[in-house]
Amino acid sequence: MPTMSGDPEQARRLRSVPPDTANPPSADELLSRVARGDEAAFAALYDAVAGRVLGLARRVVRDPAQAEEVTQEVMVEVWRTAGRFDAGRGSASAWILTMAHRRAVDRVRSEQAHTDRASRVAATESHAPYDEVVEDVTARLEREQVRRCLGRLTPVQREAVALAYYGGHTYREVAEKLKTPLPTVKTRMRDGLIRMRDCLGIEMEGRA
Amino acid sequence: MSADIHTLAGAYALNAVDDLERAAFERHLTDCEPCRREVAELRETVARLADDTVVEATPPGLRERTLTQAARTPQLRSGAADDSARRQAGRWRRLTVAAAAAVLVAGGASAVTWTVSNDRISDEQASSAQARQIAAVLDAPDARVFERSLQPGGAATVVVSRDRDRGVVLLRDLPEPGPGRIYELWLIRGSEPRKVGRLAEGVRASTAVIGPIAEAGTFGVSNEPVGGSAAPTRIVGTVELS
Repeated sequence: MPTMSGDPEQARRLRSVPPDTANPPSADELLSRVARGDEAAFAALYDAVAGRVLGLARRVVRDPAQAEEVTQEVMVEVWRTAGRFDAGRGSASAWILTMAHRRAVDRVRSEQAHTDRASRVAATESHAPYDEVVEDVTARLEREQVRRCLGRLTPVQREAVALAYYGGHTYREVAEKLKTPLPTVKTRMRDGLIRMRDCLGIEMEGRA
Repeated sequence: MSADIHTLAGAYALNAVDDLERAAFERHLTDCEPCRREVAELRETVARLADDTVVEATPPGLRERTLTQAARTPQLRSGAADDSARRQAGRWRRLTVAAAAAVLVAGGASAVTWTVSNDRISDEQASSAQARQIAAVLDAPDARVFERSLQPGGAATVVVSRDRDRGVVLLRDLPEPGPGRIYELWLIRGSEPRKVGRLAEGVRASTAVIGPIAEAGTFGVSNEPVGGSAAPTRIVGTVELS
């Protein structure tokens, strides 16, 4: 996207702006209100992040009903543990999406105990289709930025990252799947994410 | 070791590690400020990967169910958000839980397999009574962490909640107690020891719930003959609980 190129800062500022609102509170502000028991803030936070939580859960667990369960569990957990969120360690949305990914992956890994995953669609498929509804422009720009940055990884880095994140595999499983030594896979994941980070312009100044 | 474990940063941020690796990596993070920063950045990066999965139309029923369930769910006491000492304590608790998980997993403690994350001790996974008791202590708002290396080797971490009148002890890497000998655990008030547990023969690492704490000011580990002793005969380490 030409409008996005070279200005990751702007992308981040635009990030959690839901449609039709002039100056909405950020996810971080909402979460700190949620920590004080503010139910309206929780509803607003849900509206701001549930689409990504559900989308991620669907991508990882595949089954729509289970994905909804994961979303509900995660959001209730957000409500329950909001007081534990430490803004010094990262953004509210990363905190929530980390939790969502963990839950989704837990499901996949426990399911793995009984089912062979051969039937599961390979995680390296290009991109899941999404509904052709009118999208919030900032959300679309963000998605395109992520895709563009994913496109800058080497194919093997992208494969390792996608198998782990979207496929819910451990790096050991990824190594096995790709018949690649463990250290190589670890390196690909780290180097790939570092490249992605730099492309997205993420920097934790004063945070970490 | 640390250079090697640090290469896990990417896999860790992607949640592509098992519980033991996660615990080990989180311990590594406590000693490595630049690593914490890198991991925080990689986490933010990984979270952005979810931007590529957005579902535009979330089902209205889901929203309703979620808000209703949240309204019925009590929130964990947050502690003072601005009180950095408490935040520190929170961080310590999380780290300690990670260490406890490592011990449990490494010890292959029978059916106790809990997954410990940075952010939560999942209730459904705290499947054993012991895990629940441990979680209760670690979650207590007044929980405090005390840590000491022991004389003959190894280390003890004691988390104490005076409110709950219980403590959690993590012992790791104790030396061989010697043939026909075991370790026993004590709470000491003034000069009066009270026995609060023992490790089985041959066991050199453990996570145990101890209590009641009452007025005890010191925790101790002693090396005793297999049958145990009425009072500690060979103290190998003590941890002051204040």
